[in-house]
Amino acid sequence: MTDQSLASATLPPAWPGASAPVAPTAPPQPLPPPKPPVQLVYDGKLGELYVIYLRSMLLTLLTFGWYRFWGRTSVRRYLWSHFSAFGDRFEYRGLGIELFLGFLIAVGSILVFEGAVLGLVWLAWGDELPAEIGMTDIMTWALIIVGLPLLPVAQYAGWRYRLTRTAWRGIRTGLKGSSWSYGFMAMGWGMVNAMCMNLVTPVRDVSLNGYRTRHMTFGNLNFGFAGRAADIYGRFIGFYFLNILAWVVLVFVVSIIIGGVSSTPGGMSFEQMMEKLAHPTPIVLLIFFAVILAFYTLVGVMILPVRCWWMAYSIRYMVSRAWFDRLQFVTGVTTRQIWGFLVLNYLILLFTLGLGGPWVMHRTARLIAQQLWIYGEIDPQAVAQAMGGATGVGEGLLDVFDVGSV
Amino acid sequence: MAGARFYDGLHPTAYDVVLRASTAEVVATLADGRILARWPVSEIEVVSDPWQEPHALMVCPRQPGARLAVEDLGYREALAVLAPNMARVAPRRSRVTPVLGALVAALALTIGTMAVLIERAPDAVAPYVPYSMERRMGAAVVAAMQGDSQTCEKAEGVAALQRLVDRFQVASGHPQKVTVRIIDMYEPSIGNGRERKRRVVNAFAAPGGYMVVMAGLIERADGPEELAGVMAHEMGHIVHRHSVKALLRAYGFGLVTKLVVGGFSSDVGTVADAGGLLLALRHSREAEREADRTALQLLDATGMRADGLARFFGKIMDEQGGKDGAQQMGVFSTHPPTTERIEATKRPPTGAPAMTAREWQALRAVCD
Repeated sequence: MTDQSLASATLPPAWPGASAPVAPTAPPQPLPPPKPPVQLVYDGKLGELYVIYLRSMLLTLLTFGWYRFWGRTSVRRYLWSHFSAFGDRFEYRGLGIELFLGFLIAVGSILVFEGAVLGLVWLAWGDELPAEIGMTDIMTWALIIVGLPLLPVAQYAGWRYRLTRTAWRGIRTGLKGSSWSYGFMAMGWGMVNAMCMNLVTPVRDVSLNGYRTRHMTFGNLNFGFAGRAADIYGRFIGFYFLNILAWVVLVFVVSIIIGGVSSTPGGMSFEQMMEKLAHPTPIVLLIFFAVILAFYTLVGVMILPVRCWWMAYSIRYMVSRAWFDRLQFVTGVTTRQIWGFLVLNYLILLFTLGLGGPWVMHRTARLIAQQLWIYGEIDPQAVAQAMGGATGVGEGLLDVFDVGSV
Repeated sequence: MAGARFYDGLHPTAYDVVLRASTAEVVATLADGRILARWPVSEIEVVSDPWQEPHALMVCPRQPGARLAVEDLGYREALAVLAPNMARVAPRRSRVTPVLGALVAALALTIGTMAVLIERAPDAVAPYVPYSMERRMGAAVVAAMQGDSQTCEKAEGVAALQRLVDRFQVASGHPQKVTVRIIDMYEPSIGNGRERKRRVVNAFAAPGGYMVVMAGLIERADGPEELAGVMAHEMGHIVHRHSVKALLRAYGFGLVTKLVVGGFSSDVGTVADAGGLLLALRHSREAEREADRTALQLLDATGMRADGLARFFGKIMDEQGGKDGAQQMGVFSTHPPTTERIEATKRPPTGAPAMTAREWQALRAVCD
């Protein structure tokens, strides 16, 4: 909590690759020892977060869903303001009414779109629309065909909304670039990847993540990203074939278990099992849930670790290739941590039917605070507040598609 | 964080400042005595949220973009009393444990009330759903069923069935006339299609008083009593508005689970949906029992021979090789066990015939 603002501008930082101009006549100055890296601090309390969350949930129920925009805003305010970097807290200045208006605009555009579809169908067929084609089917399919590619567009617009409402030391963050370009990129890569049996995943990930990171701003400066798909292809190929192998082994193990159960003298046929399940007694229900749990455990033990091995590697790579001004970011998140994180989050949400939401948010915030290291110092004179830039309303489509709960 | 921090709104610089405040102005001074902000109290706006944020953020239009952040509780309490517009500087965080307890209780009460409402409200609300709306929904359902199947429209046969149903409608006191549609639908053929396609044996009560009868049912019924039994059962569904109630219940359950589960995990949603489906099936079985009871009342009220329903159930069970499919399906079945229904609907073979022999012949030939 010292005043580092003025001092840091005069000293050249210990920075690999940055050549400090040294006057030829002066004796060579020893470089100051590099400062230790800093971490984000999250000092939110689970109980407080629960009060905010349950309160907005209660009001959401009582208003039949209309309060959720304001509830989501207050949860974000709590989370953002309990994160701090270099001793200063983050700020979230979004408003519930903005989310609400965004929602109304999204619903309005869907209505206009469906009206246009209705008009076109009427123009094309008039009253002679064949009876087996239902009007509702046409409208649903039109919305799915147009809506699914729009999802990444809405996602990018949502990030932009959240970033333009975020500030640190009074300076706003932001996201430049076009959500339409990003949406087309995501859709194109998705199609190419599907045609190539997911083998271009690293190229897609680096390309999309690079677009996002390079367009992120703090004040008037953009973040940078220097990732190359070639760097992570080796690990990805390893993951790709390990994943296939893991699935083969899983199918093998499951068929051995099922075969063993049904061939033992006391075993039951599939029909007998269904018959038992149709007239459940407590013990049948208990066995039923135990079997489901066993299957999920098998997936969690055999498939998930391979996936986490790749996820952790990919996260470490993407974070370490991003920079801002003279700041570099490093995370040491491990396969085991990601695995434990995902498994416990899943269990919490499943067993609390969503009421564990704040707990998962809390765990996520703590993981970020524990695992993100920031090297270097920010040069206050190099960054200035950006003029304008905030869009009026946001996240409408995202809310309509029902994704993202924070 | 002792003291306060000043951000100039131009660069990401944090200045540790000392605040001096009077009822007239707030002054932020650096350690070396330099003054960074001198803001009249009346012009200060508190932009932070005293409920959610651990610090107070003040802004002043005299220095656009600049912020004063105060975290120290003593400072904040002192600043809050300077003027009404400064009240939000003070933290308003409530004590977690009692508030949490109250919230959990209120939530449990709300969700419990809603659950009871979902169980009970459809029965009370269904009569108030506008008939025109119900009629439109029913027309859409019937149109979808007609699809590429043949609709049987021989006037004499349709009229015979309509007369039978009209008698039940009058006896039940149901205010709206029932519209009968006969559809010749076949079960989807499996295999090479060489075996004869089987007709669907069924009847449905769609919303809006539409009664859809499959030609297979007329073909399979031995005599008008069996058909009359099934028609009286479907009339029971119409009288009790079972289709509308089921729709309302599904809608209400979907709304509440969506609100509670939120947008977290699709698996959480799946668990909730599975629960909802089992609940809906239980209501469906209960509705079938109610329709069976009403069917017997209607048959008695019109003085018809009432043994057809139980006989028809028995025949269907025999054709399945004596197995009770609904009983085997248990909690996954839309209908109660057939043996239970046979027991409940057994009647002696006495009473007036459901229709004349001539009418019955015309109805048998309705699809030709």
